[in-house]
Parts: sequence; structure tokens; C-alpha cells
Amino acid sequence: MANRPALLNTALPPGFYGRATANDYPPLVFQERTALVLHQVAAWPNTVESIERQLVNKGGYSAAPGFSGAILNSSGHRLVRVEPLKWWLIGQAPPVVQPDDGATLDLSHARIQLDLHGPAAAELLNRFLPVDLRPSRCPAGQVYMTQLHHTSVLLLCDDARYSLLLPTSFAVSLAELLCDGARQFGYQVLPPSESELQTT
Amino acid sequence: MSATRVDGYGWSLGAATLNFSWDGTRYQGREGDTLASALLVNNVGPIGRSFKYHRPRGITSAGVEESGALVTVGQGDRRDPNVRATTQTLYEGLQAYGQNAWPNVRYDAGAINNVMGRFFAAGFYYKTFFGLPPFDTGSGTGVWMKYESLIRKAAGMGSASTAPDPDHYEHAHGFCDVLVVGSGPAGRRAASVAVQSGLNVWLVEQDSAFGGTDLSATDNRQQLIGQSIAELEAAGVTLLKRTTAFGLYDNAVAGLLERVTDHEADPSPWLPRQRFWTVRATRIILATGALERGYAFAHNDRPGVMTPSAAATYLNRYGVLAGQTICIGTNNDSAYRTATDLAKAGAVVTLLDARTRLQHPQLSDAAKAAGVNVRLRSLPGKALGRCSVTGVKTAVLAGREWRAQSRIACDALLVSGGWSPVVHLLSHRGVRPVWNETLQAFLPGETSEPISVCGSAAGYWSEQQCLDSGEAAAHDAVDAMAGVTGTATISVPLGWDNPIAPLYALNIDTRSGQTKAFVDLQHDVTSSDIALAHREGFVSVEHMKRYTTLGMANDQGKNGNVIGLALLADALGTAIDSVGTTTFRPPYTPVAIGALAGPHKGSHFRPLRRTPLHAWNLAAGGTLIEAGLWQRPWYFKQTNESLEETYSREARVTRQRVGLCDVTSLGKIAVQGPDAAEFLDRVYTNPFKTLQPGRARYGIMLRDDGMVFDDGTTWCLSPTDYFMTTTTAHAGAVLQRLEELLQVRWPELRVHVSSVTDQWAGVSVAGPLARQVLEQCVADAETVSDAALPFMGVIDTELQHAIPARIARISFSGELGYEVYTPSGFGPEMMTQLWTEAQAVGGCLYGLEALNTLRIEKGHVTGAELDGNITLQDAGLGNMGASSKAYVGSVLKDRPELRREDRPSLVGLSPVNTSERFNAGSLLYAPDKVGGHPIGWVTGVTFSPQYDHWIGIGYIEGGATAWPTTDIVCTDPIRGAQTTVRVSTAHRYDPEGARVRG
Repeated sequence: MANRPALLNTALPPGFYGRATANDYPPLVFQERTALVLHQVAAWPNTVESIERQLVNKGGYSAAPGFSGAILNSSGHRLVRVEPLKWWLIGQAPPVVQPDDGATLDLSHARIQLDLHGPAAAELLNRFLPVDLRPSRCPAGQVYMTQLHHTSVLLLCDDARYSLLLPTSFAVSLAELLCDGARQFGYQVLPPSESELQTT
Repeated sequence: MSATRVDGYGWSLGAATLNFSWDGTRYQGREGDTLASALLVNNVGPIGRSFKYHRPRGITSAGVEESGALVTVGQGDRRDPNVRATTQTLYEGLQAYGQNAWPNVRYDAGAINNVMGRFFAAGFYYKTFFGLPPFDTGSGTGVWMKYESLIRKAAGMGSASTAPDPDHYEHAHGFCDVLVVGSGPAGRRAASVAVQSGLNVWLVEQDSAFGGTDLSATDNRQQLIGQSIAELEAAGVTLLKRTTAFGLYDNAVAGLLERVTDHEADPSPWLPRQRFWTVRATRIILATGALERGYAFAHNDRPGVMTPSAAATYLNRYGVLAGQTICIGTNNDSAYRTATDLAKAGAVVTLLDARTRLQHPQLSDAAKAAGVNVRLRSLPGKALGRCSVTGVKTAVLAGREWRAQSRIACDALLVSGGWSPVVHLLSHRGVRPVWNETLQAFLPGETSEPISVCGSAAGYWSEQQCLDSGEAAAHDAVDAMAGVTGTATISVPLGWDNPIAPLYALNIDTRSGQTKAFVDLQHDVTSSDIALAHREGFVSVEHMKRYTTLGMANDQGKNGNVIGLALLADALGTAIDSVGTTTFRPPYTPVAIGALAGPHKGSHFRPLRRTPLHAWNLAAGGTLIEAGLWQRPWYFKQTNESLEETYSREARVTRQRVGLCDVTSLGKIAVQGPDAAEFLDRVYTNPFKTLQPGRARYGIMLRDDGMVFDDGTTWCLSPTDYFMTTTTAHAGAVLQRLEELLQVRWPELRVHVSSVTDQWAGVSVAGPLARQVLEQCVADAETVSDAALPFMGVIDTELQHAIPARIARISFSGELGYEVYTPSGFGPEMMTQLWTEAQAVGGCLYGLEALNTLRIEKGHVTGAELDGNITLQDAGLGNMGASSKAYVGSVLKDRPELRREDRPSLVGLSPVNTSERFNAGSLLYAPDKVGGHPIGWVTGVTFSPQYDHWIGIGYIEGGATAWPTTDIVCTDPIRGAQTTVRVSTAHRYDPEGARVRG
């Protein structure tokens, strides 16, 4: 199969921008990940428990996440409950679900994964996102479904590293907005990587 | 005034000299000055002209309550009006100008208004512009609009630049356990106690330096402030100066405005000018301090009249002695310390105290020891001078009346009528302040919200009480967050050592009406206006406010509110607490529109949607156009082509060979579940239960009222899995509608709907050579043969290089056509493969303009035709409404009104003279009745390469059969065009559909 190309390369060409110079340790580092694996698993009201069981057992999770919650497995994959009857499985394939139990849907290309880290990462994100990123309130593995410029985005937190799952069609516009905000800190853009979701 | 810089004062000043200009004249100030202190020391005046009477105004304060020195800063597109000179930090090269004056504030032609002032009392325009008796001459909206223009020119403040703002602004979100507003002694103590208790604390200060009242203290407290701020910073407190908490909102949310670079001569290009914070705190502690107010007396607005605390600030913080011979009028103890400071700095000071005796004379004794001439039972009764104070006519208390006494020469007049705690932020939460007779001030009312008030904002005047109240507020916050009942206690405010004497207005001028005593300097509201409002029946404080404009606009009652309320209470013969108070509203100080907009301007005004083929389209020479939030290819121009030539070529090549068009923006919805077919059958007007896997069907959705909602094709992938496409414009609305139906109307259906618009990139391949192109791109050419993929067939297959693809044989152009989808990330590769093969057979890329041409020729509808007022029959789709089943809108679509034969129906339009063109949006009239309500309208036009003239599509009463041979008048009143057109069927190109099945 052909490689899945980067789609943010026009907005995020590799290099140093804003206050940072090549010699600085950049306070912000952006990198697009091009191999996002994202599947939606949906249940019917009477099959929630069985679907949860399937997801937990096959995915290697310790428990099912509660409403709006997320859980991390030992491989760094995430299970996020995005709606009462829907989960997003990030980083791994879904279990086989029979129509009478629910439905699965591949959304891997519906989102662009943009990773962000550096000392100013939380500060930059809070220029746009109304989510509490204080370490005491945002432990590793925390996930937020929030809004960036009126657009629904998923934020995955891992200590001081963050991954934004941006709707593909909005991704360039949102990345431009983030870069505009990042100029005051200075930032580096790394070349796109095919690495899967980076987690600790 | 003859202000001077005094050695040994001015702890905030740096060594550097700064050049600035005022109304084009160059002056010098010092690093650390505000614009006000620099203007003061240069003895510049007047600095402003008043709102209505154009009276000369000077500096009245040293902070955000300033209502005299409102100036314009900057030039051109950076012109910023109504800046308080008292809060504008001086920087090298600053350019400032007087405003609301012509030709300048020193010689202002508008000052004639002051002479005519007796005619401009409160509400004069309400009365005057109702019309003149006996025939109400001059009444009416048209005449009022003319008056309004004149009034707006004569009154007002500065004018903003109309050029685009070149600066950028930023939004930010903050979170903390405790937000402390104000960095005076109480605020710093509260922050210190809270952070030591392990809470996450923010401390915000509107001033350019932390310290609050300590900044103006007699003794240099710079070291003390610096040490406490350093300790707070070391403990992890987030410190923001030049940051105003302008509003409080639900759930302890505060709006902050941080002025990031307003004080810099050469700001960093990386930084925003201002930052608009939304801070979500668990608890808020307000240590917002108190503002010193004056009182109303004759000519109390003369340049040179200010508050004693302002003079103390100018002396101690900026090293500027406001005058050489200073008269002070007061009713409270606070002015004594200022008088002492000023005398020690070299001024000749006379202090007039309204009180008859002082129980604790220590302050008075200290002032006298410093050389201050103290007189009890006395007050300034009238300011003398015109453009600056030259003296004061004093008043003496004789019995219970004030009488004119003598004149004192002075070049600065300081007046204090008491202190008003800053209760504005709490008022934003709907908490009514409570009148305290002892303090003669409104204090914060009780609130159940997680907000505490401390320091002088709570009425504590002594430093120790401020510190104690700050500590108590912090303990309250700690206890509340720990879930325990508060244990902190704080004594009631004690007031001054010597009780304050009520003082709001003083009138010793026997020529009543000849002089003005101002209550609200910013809006030119006088004590006479309050009395007039009362006489005319505006006895409610809210009515009085609106009639006189007291405390309105950006002042929000900081100075005049208490005085106005006291005067109204006096007129009513009641106590101030019976009159009540008005509501202070956010923002506490003005917030620039740019800060409200933040980064959401220009190309980021709305989020843009780009298809995965965006860059590919641009690289191929495409010109893009906005379609809703989407950027779509409009046309692909070749050298020297006009737009019309371009889209005509694209349409022609597509009809004759093959064309490719990016159709990614079409809405795409996954409909999944065992009841999906049943669901679709209820949603669409035509049957979907019979749709087999591997087949697609065109469908129409109606609203409940029977009108057409949206259209599209739905592809059956399996009996439990469907792929629905919608129009680009209605994709979001359709998904919402489907969700609503499933959650509210048919919760028993086991169906999930999910947007997959962003999952797939789509290309329309249209034209007689479309299959030939596709055969070269798919892994197995047989999969797209006519037999394997007939008209309305669907397959999941692979393109070259194993790229997964979903292909349906459907047509919007009227030609053999396919919609090819791949996962978005593979979109560019898909397009490259298709384009390589299309180019090889002489194909083209086409955009929205050619798409429009093709569909008008074919008679297909879009959002322009499905405008929400159209039925199935109107759109010529009557046969799509199944009679054998119920579906959304099936009942109401048959209302008699919607079945009338003469309803406008979809038709094709062609000009009688084929060399003429006509416009979309034109109205259609029968030849014998042109004008009035039209019989139809034009929804779309194009030059048709197929017919070699302009054609259109639109609606006309009765449809094409009602006007078979009539010349219809097509008028475009907006653009002044008129054409004669003939009506035909909309489906004029290949009506049998042979080409799509080819």
C-alpha cells in the first residue's frame, strides 16, 4: 500500500520559527504523526456491558472507562468513551462486533494527529483550549474532548506531552492557528513521523 | 498649575529620559512616568474637553477612575482613543493627542456649548427633538437622524481609527484554586496565606506595578513590595500585572485583560498587544481597594482639581509636586497625611476640613507641625480660574449652612468627599452593595458564591485591618476548599479615627445656574441635572441614571455614583440606603474590540475546511473559492483564459472526454445497525428497504412540514451498513437531524449515525471516457466494467498501489460518471493516478463553476433551488414521494396549499435573444404585468457551451407547461438589467439519461 502522506506539511514545514533559533532549546515542538489508527466501536443500549467486556479483554485494559473517561493499556493504546454508547479505540484494531451487538467504524483518516511537547506546551494549548492542564488535574492518560476554535478536537495528555486529534478537514487551519500562537514562545517543527501514538 | 519634579521623591522613576509628544509638541518625561505624570510635570493643560459642554479638563486622579485626562494615543491604524493618561505608561516616542475638540483642546470652538449650557440640561434632546409646537415641526425619524448627526459631532469622546487593526490579540484560559484581584496589602497577604496552605494561586494587578496603595505610600515601600512579590513568586503564585479583572461571571469565572505590550515603544513582533483571559477559579478573593471621590461644588472640574490621594501618588511614586500653593478640602482623615507630605515636599498647603472638631487630633497636629494651615468648618466652595485653578472661594459652616467666606490663591485644589470601595466586580454577580452610614460608603453585600472581599474594598481603612481581612479571606478559601466551615473571623470596619462627615455637594453660589457643579465629570452630569430629573419625576435611581446618563459608559459610576445617589436621596427627603444603587456592569475598564476578537480574524475569522486535495488542487493551478467553511476548487485556468472561457472549456471537455472534480466536501454519514434500512426508509421519501448491497439510490429528505430538506445518494455496503452522502451545505444539519430522530423519535431503532466526511477524499470522474480512466487506476479493471458496476452500482475495491477505494457509478453532470473515494490520507495519490490517466485521454480538471454549468444544463438541483420553501412537486421530483409508506414529512407535504397546480415549479430558462445574458436572482414577470409580486425567480445561470448561449434554471408559477410560448420578462432591479426569456423543462440535456448509462 502507498504510504500515508503528511497533510500538514504546508502549515508545518520542518524548521524553527518565532522566537526560537536553531541554537535554542525550543520551548515547543510540533510533529505530525501519519499513522493514526482510530476506530469507533458502538453498542446498543442492551449490549453496553458485553461490548465493554470485549474492548477491555481484547485491548488489554484494566477496566472500562466511565463517561467521558479514558484508559491507557500497557502498550500505550487508549480506550476513550466519547459518547454513552460509543468508544474510540486509539492505536489498535477493534474487536469483531456482530451487528446485533454493535458496530465498528474506521476513523483513522478522519483525524490528523498533531503531537506537541516542550515546556510551553500546556501554556500554548491553554491559549485555545478551556481545559485544566495543571499536572494535579491532568494526570498521564487523561483525555479531553474539547473545542479548538469552535471545532471538536480530542486532546490526549501524557505528562508534558500532548497529542491533538484534529478533524482532517480543519487540521491545516487549526495548525496555522496554533503556530500563530506559538510564535511568541518559539517553536520547532519536526518532520512528520509514521510512529504510532507516543505514550509513556 | 505649576507642578515640579521634586528631588528625593518618585521611587518608581528610572534614570532614563523619555521623549514624547502631546498634540504635536515634544516633551520629556522619565522612565517610570505615566503619561499623566509626564504631562503634569510639564504643566500641560488643559488635557481634555468635556463630553457635552466642551469644558477644559485636567488630570483628576492617578488611576483607572480618571474622567478628565482621556486622550488619544498613537497615530494612523494604531490610533487608540479614550485612553486614560493616568494608566498609560510613558515610553520613548509616545504620541498623544487631545480629543473631542476642534482645533485642539486648548482652543476649542465647541466651548460655545458651555455658554449655551443652560439649554443642554439632562434630557434636552428628548424634549427638543420631539418637534416644535404647535405642529410638532421637526419631529419624525428623518429629521431626528439629521439632528443626531450634529449631536454626535458636537458631543462624545475620541474617534477610533477606521483602518484595520495591525496588532494581534490573544485569548487564553487559566485555572487556579484561588484568584486574588488586587496586589495591595490585603491582596498580597491573602495570596501569601493561600499559597502557603498549598493552594494554587493567581494574583492579578491592573497597575503597571504590584503594590496597590503601597505604591503611593509616604515611606518608600519598594523594597517591602519587592520582597513580598518575590516570596509569592518563589512559592509558585502566578503573578500578572497590567492585568485588569474586568468582569466576574458564573461559577467563579473571571474575565481578565492583560496589556502585554501597550507600554512598550518597540514591542516584540512575536507578542500580542493584549491578552484576553478567561480564568476559572475555585475561589475568588477581591482586594480591589477603594477610590477617593470628590464632591459637587462650583467649577469642581477645573484643570488643577484632583483628589488628595492622586496628589500623594504623583508626589511619592512619580516625584511630581502637583502645585506650589495647594488647597485641600476634605471631610475625612486620609487627606491629612497627603497634606503633610506635600508640605514636607515644599508646597504651601492649606487644608479645609468640613468637620467641626477632631476627636483624635494627632493627624492634624502632625500636619500643622509640617506647616499645613488647617481650618475646620471650612471647605472649598468654588474653584477659580478658567483653564487652570488660580484660587478657591472658601465656604464656612455657619450653624447648619455653608456660606461663602474668603478667597485663597492656589495653583492646585485637592478635594476628598470620602472613599468608595470598589464593589463593581461583586455587582457583576448581581450582589447589591449595602450602605454603611459610619463609613458613608457602599460596602459589598453578602453572596453565596465562592467570592470573598477584603481590604479597603470591604471598608477596612487601616493597614492592619486590611492585612487581617486578607488573611481571613484566604483562610475562608482554604476552609471552603477543604470542605470545612470557615473559622476565620474579622472585625467590622472601624472607619476613620475621626468620623467622616457626610459631604456630597456644596452650593454657595448665589447666582444659581450660572456655575456648574459636576457629579459625573465624564458625562457632564451636574448637581442641577439630578435636581431636574427629580423635578421631572425620575425618582427611581434607575430612571435617574438613564435620564441623566450618570455613571454610564466606561466610567461605570466610579466617581459620581455615590454623589448622585446622595443628591437624589436629599431631593426625595430620604436616606441613601432607601434610594438604593444602580448595577455596575462589566467591563470595569474598557476592553478593546480587538481583544474580544482575539486571534479569530482574517483567515481565522472562521475555521477553514480544506480537502485532502487542497494542496494538490493549488499545485495543479486551481483557484479556490469558499463554499461555507470549505475551500473548494472554483476553476483551473489556463493561460489568458477568462473565467467564462475557463469553465466553458472545462464543461465542454467533460462532456466530450472526461473531467475530474474534487467533491470531498460532500457530507458523508455512516448509517449502521440492524435497523438501518428501516431508518432510511422513514427518513427518505422513496423506498430504501429494497436497496440491495452494492447499489446506491438517490433520496430526498423532507422536513416535518413537508418541505424539501436535503438530497443525496445512499450506498448500501451491507444490510447493516450504509454510506449516505448529503449536500455540502447541509451535512451538519442532516447529521443533527438524524441524531435527533434516533434519540427522540425512534429510540427503539438500533442504528448509529456517524460523520465520516473527514474520513474520505472524493473525486468525481465524469465524461464519456470516465470508465476508461478508471480502468487504468483500479487494481482490477474488470471491477469497473459496465456489468460489474452498472449505473447506481457500488463497489469497494483498490486503486493502484493497494489504495483502498469505494466507487459508486453516479452522475451529477449528466455524463457517465463515478464518485471515487479513498481514505483521506490517500486522496492526493488517488487524484494523481486519476489525473495521469485523464490527461492521457485529453481530460481536464474542473471546479465548482463548471460543475454548476453541467448541472444547470442537466437540470439537477442544488441548495440554490432547495431553499427550504420548496416541495417535491415544486422541484420536479414528485415521483420521488412514495405513497406506500410513511416518512418524515409525508403527511404535511399533502397540504392543499402545497399541492396547488399554480405553485412555482422548476423550469429551464433561455434568453429569446441568445446573445443576451441574465442574472441569478432575477425576478420573472408575465409580459403584461411587470412589477409587483413576481411569478417566478432565477436560481442559477451559466453560459452553456452545449447550447452556445446563456441558460438558467429557476421557478415559475405553474411550471413550464403554463408558459409554453410566452415571452417572460426577466428583471434584475438590483443591477438594473432586463431580458426576455423563454421557459422550458429544466431537464433539457439528455432527458432520457442515455449518457449516464453509457
